[in-house]
Amino acid sequence: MNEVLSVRGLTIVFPMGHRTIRAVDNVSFSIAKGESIALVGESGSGKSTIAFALFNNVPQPGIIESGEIRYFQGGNFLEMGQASQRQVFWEKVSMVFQAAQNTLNPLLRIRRQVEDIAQAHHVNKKVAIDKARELLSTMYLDPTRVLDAYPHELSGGMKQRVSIALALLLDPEIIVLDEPTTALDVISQASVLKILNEIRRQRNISLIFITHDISVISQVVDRVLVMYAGSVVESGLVQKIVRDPSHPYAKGLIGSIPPLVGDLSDVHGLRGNPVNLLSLSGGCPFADRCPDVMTRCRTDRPLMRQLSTGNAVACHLYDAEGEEVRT
Amino acid sequence: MIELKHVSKTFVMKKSRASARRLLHAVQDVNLSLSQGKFIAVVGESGCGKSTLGRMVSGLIPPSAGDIVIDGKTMTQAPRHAWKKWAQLVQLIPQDPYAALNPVRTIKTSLAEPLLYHHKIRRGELNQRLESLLDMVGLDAGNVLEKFPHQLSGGQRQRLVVARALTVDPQYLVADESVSMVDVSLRLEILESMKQISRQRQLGLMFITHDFRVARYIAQGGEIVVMYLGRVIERGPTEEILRSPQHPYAQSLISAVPILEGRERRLEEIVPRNYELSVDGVPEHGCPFQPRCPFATEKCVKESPELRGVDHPEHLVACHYAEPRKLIAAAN
Ligand SMILES: Nc1ncnc2c1ncn2[C@@H]1O[C@H](COP(=O)(O)OP(=O)(O)OP(=O)(O)O)[C@@H](O)[C@H]1O
Ligand SMILES: Nc1ncnc2c1ncn2[C@@H]1O[C@H](COP(=O)(O)OP(=O)(O)OP(=O)(O)O)[C@@H](O)[C@H]1O
Ligand code: SF4
Ligand SMILES: [Mg+2]
Ligand SMILES: [Mg+2]
Repeated sequence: MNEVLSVRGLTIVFPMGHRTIRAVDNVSFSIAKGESIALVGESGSGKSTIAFALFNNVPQPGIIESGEIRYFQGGNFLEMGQASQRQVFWEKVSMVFQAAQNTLNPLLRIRRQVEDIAQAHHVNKKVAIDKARELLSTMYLDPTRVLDAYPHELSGGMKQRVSIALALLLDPEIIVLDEPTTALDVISQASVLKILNEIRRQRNISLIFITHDISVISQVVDRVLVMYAGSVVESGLVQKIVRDPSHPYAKGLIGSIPPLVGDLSDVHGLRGNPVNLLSLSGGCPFADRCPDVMTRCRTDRPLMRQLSTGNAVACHLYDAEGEEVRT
Repeated sequence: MIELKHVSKTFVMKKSRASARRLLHAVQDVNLSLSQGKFIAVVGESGCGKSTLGRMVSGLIPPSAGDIVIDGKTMTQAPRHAWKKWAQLVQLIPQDPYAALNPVRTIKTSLAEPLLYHHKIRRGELNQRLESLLDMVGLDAGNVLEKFPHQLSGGQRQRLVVARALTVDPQYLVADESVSMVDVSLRLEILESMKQISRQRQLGLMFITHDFRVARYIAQGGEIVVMYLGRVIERGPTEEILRSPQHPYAQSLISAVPILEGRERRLEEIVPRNYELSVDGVPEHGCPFQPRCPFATEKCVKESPELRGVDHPEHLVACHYAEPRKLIAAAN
């Protein structure tokens, strides 16, 4: 398999006074060339922290306690010197930040921002502008109008599409998108999803799509990692997880999306409060909210098991063979 | 029953340079009725006038034209003191809980204030009353009463805002989901309890959202009203609107909802000619949706379509070329 990214045993902690928060706990995943994945989970589950770690840029006071990140089957990115890190990143990985609409420089016209990126990466400015024109028109934007505009002259959806165009400027192989549609209006959101789906198919790019809303990812990624309290609790093909989730948390997530057709009677929200990372015990992090909780869930940490469906799940309801345990 | 009769709201916009004034028709000629026990979802993009409508229904701002009639009494012409009664009958639940709760007051003070203001109870009964209110929205009084808003989770804060609206025994709730700051997975639990409480107490519920999934869930068995640039462009029984929407804008909104692959299937997709609401404002003539409408003709530029009945007697559409389209089906 032609891997563009491999993450192994990534653990990230935030020291908070005399306690530490384990914001990302032993997370592993890999991405094949052209394959796209989503990280899905509620607020505080560690999604953005993983995204920052992919750039070895975890916010203060966070510490990457252990783990390896390899791009393009190279060495451990976390142990490289800054110069080599930059080389990996040079043009190959880019990021669209959470609330990216607000990360455009408000004082500069879009044209100037394109030129600045070109300059920083030693690309000819005219070539970059031509490239930007082409990208903006694939984003259903009028290139001339947008290039001459200041960010405040554009709507939220237009700004988000401009951010994505800028992220594509250097032809990356991987784009990390943190909540790219969360702040957008419905129709605008649909346009961004459509564009992302087009670029991943046409350009053979890998998307790492981060969201708390599992209903938006069906058409933009191949695989999903469902995260809870810093851990991956289920992973697998998006259609399989949406149609037939195995982990009680994944079931809850899917079950809380009201359907557009058919029966509404078994739509229920997830019960209980979001997890408090400071009060996690040694057992399953979802135990307090889990409708199927068993005694051992409170004490034993469930391991990731491969299921016959192809999904992998970390839950005591499934045994080592991936069979559902009857209780 | 609350009836809106040709209700409009116009804001006067001062242009930055010179003194030229422009009128912004935030809500235009809306007719609606909300009775106790009925659920209505108002759907539309940002800026379509949903909150403005909600604030008029709750008596927070007066209409520029038209009348709001409650139980046969024309409130918009009633004397000022009648408005206090109105504010108690109809409670607005802003969905931005940060804005709704005073950050420097305890939850107890925030909840007690409307109770005492509307003389709903005597001081001695306060604690007992607060407990039963919090219990109704699934919160534990002992756990939250002495806390400040920032000490609660997003979901708890949102439930609290619902509890606060219920303090004064309203007959109608207007819930504005304009800012949804809570995770989708937690949002549903709140919607569930709001629906259940409204049913139990026979409240009329007007729910404002931009999400057709939420609209269908909340207004199950009720009515969906779709607004575009201040006007109602389609309305009808919830299932009828989802099964066969007829206005190209309503069809665009439903087409924009991401599909849950493996559970739902898209049969047809209607894509507006422009993904953004026009920044240049409403066209002066013709159909407001015409600049974005994929089906617009010369007629749409010239003539404004009236809201008229189609098929089902309660299904109304304002489009010259209204046509039912089946957009979504269950996955097979
Ligand atoms: N700079 C920081 N200092 C202390 N704790 C932090 C910091 N950044 C993140 N955390 C903690 O790490 C955990 C994971 O946060 P993260 O931002 O990765 O979550 P997320 O899944 O991206 O959530 P959201 O959906 O809200 O963006 C949270 O509990 C948070 O409190
Ligand atoms: N007090 C006001 N003064 C001037 N214009 C206003 C005022 N309130 C609302 N508007 C304008 O009226 C129009 C409708 O606004 P409204 O807030 O009702 O929309 P909305 O449908 O609730 O949008 P959202 O989904 O973003 O909450 C907008 O163009 C808005 O800018
Ligand atoms: S009246 Fe014309 S422009 Fe308006 S929605 Fe119908 S077809 Fe489109
Ligand atoms: Mg985040
Ligand atoms: Mg609003």
